[in-house]
Amino acid sequence: MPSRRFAPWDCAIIVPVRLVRLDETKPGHRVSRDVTDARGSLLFKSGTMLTFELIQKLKGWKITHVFIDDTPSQIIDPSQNPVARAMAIDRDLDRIFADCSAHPIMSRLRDAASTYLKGRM
Amino acid sequence: MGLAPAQIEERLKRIADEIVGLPTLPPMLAKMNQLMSDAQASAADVAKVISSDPALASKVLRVVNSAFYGLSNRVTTVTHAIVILGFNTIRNIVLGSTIFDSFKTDTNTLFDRTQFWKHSIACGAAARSLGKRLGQQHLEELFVAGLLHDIGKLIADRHLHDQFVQALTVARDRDCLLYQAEQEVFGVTHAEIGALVLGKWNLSKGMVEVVRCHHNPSVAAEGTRVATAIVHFADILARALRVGSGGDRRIPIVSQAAWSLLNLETEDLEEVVGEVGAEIDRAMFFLDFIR
Repeated sequence: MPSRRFAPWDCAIIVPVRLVRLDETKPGHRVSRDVTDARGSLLFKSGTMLTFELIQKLKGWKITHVFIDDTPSQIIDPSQNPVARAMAIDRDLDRIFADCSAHPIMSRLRDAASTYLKGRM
Repeated sequence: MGLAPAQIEERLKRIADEIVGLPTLPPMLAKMNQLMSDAQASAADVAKVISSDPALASKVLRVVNSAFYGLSNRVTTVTHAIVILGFNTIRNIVLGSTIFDSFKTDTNTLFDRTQFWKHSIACGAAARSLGKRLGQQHLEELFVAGLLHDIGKLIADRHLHDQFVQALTVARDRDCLLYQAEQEVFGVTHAEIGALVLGKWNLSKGMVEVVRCHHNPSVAAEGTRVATAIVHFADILARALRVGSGGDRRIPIVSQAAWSLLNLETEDLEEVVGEVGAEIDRAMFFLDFIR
């Protein structure tokens, strides 16, 4: 019987996932499971990239472990990489200004803030 | 949907009753207010009151000699500080410092105090910077109004703790503005609660109105509209520059009524952001007060 050729959908992309202690996490790690508190309330969604502030918050919430993506490309510390830092600024501003994209003053303010913050890097 | 003014009044009255022992005006501030309203009081009289609290006197000198005021010569006595910067500026420094002291001990893991004060200082600095640009005279009042614009959050956290935590949780889970969550959870906002307390502390009517209307500047009383518009936009600028956090992660859309009073064009925003950012950097030494 002739063997069938592989199609792209035959392949599963396996993203290595690792459970780590919170004090082992670094800014730039991406959480690969939803992070919830002891009562199950959602704190962060899966896919959130950790920042220094988020890690401090998790410590405040007494979270001890999180699942992170272990793909090498994900483990970029934005504080060490200017491109990643610039991307993190824009991502953060996009989140803060999420409701304002159609507003001319707010869009201009978002861009001005982006330019200013990147200029300080 | 928001409540009608009469309902808000009613709800606030109930909240004021619920707050057992609404925070009282710090005694130092009461003494300062009394002296300021006395036309006969001299710089030496005010200096005597401030110097009776050595920690406060040293804070005043630290503030006066900071880059925030940019004085060329070092000021070494409180009397000299008053002569150079004026009664009002010194009173506002005392006001900021005593309020920092009154609230620095509260803890709430969901509500980070350092981030809160960073946001408040940034808003004060942004208001001062916008005031300079608009040629306003009372820059210190604008700074203090910005510094205190969210003071109602601290009152709510201390006196309506469970409801405030619930509002923080709603704001976080729905990713909405905290004042919207507060309206839903306890019917009024930190702006109204803050105005209630500042009114009780006999702060100026203008300051109380600015705090009350900073999320809704179009309803501010005549005579306080420009200052309210300034603090409203200063809050937005502090969020845009990601300095600290007031308990939510969103930014309010600038009120059209406020924008038209600010006399700005969208093309000015890059310059405004640069000026405000520099002023925020200079003002951040105020954080030392809470440590």
